[in-house]
Amino acid sequence: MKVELKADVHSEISPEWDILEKIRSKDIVAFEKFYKQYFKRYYIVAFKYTGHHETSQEIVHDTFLKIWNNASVLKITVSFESYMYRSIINACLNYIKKEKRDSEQQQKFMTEFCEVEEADDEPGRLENRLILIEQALGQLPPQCKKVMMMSKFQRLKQQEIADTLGISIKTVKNHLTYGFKKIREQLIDNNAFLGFLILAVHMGLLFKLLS
Amino acid sequence: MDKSSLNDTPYDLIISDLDGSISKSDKKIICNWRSLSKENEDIYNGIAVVFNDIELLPEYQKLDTNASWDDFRQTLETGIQNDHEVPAGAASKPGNIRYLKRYASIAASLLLISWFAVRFFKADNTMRIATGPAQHKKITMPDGSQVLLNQNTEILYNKNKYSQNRVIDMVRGEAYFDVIHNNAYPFRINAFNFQIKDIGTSFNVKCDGKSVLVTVSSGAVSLSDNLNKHTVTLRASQKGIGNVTSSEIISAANDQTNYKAWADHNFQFLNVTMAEVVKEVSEAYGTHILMADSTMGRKKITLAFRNQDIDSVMSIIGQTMQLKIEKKSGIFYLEEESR
Repeated sequence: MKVELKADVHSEISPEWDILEKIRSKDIVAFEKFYKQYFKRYYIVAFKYTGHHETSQEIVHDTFLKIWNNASVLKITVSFESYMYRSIINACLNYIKKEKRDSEQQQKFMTEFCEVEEADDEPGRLENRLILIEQALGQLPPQCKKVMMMSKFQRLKQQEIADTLGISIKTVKNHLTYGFKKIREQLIDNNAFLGFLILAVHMGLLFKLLS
Repeated sequence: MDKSSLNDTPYDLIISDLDGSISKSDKKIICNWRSLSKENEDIYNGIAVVFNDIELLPEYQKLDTNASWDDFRQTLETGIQNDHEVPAGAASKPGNIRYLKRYASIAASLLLISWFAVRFFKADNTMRIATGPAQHKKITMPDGSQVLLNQNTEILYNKNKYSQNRVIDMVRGEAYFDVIHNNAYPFRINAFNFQIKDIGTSFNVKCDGKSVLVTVSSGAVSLSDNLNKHTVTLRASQKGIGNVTSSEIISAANDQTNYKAWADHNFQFLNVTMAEVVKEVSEAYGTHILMADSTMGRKKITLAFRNQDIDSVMSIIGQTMQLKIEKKSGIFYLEEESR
């Protein structure tokens, strides 16, 4: 199942325009499929910036709802993915501006988004990375995985992890080093493989055109 | 990606730089290292990506696309209704009809809300997970904690409340818990008239109806009775026994080396009788092992196994004790080798 997801995350080549056609004709089955394919990745992007479950769900649902309601008048000049991504980012911006309760997070978000002109397929990439990180995490030795989870999921300090598990802080550092190193390597390996795949597809197209 | 790069790359400094715990002098070192080569900068950025993304993973894992769609479908349907309700000429309609419509829609939404409320409170959110004979089950709880159920075991938890209260009811049987510790939401297990609270991380709980036996592998747990009259803190390689009838708790050093062999199939037998070995192995694998005569059971044996399958375990026992092992319809028969 995960392999399918991987392939699907990088299916930029398939045209999304006919899905817009279907949404225009109020094809709820096609819309459901579209929703289910993209919900997670847009949710997680919204969550990355708002850090709030209900808000993220609301932002993503509003965006989907707008597409459903306004499909007939919608003029998308960029790719569908870019359109979705930008809508969600704008909604997050508005939310953060309105809230202003966490000025530090706002600052972080503003600088991050302004400085790094992220690629428009970032949601798909992020989702792909999360799937790979999940897989890589699962392949780590149990104690290493536990230290990684305590550090990143429970946000425990290295000393707290050491105390809880009754191991030295040096061992905690070693586990974290090994864990991050392994996960990063796995991401690189996979990217290289995907790059190769995309190249192969392009070569195939070129060959078809020439023949 | 070669082995030596683990020594060259200051991973621990990168990590403390990212989590903000780095000292000023180390910060200088890491800045220098980053400026040394593009490769170094790439490694730093790669780790930073993992470091930031991994925090989103628990949230990502929690997502249930189908449930969200059902949720969204509701909004969609009311949205569609609204579209039909307010056509372009709505304003020119006679007032009383418009009021009527408004009241009708208020009534409808009240009805909808109460229907949801009833559904929400009535819904049985209790998750029941049980195993039958010779069956194991591994469960990852919403918080990432892992529970491994031995055979004939049953646990309950509330699907909706778990992430807030982290309570598991243990109805019967035996389970091994590997808990992600969280000070804000302590992990608790109710077993008969006892409560087990995680202070550390992994432990085994066995309920046989008469007693609740808790054995700690790493970290610490507290075991207390329902009235909180007695509380005992158990640390790694200690065990606590709660007496179900008297509510008394005793703690002691763990003398059962193989208490979680059922979960990991790691055994260590130091000069133990064959009878004991056969009992523990057959319990851990859920198989039957029969000895041809009782004198065999009194012989002592010293052996260790690390996560081997039952066939290899039995053949190793056979070789060490010079026994003939026969397997017929899932039952092992041990006999003295005739010479």
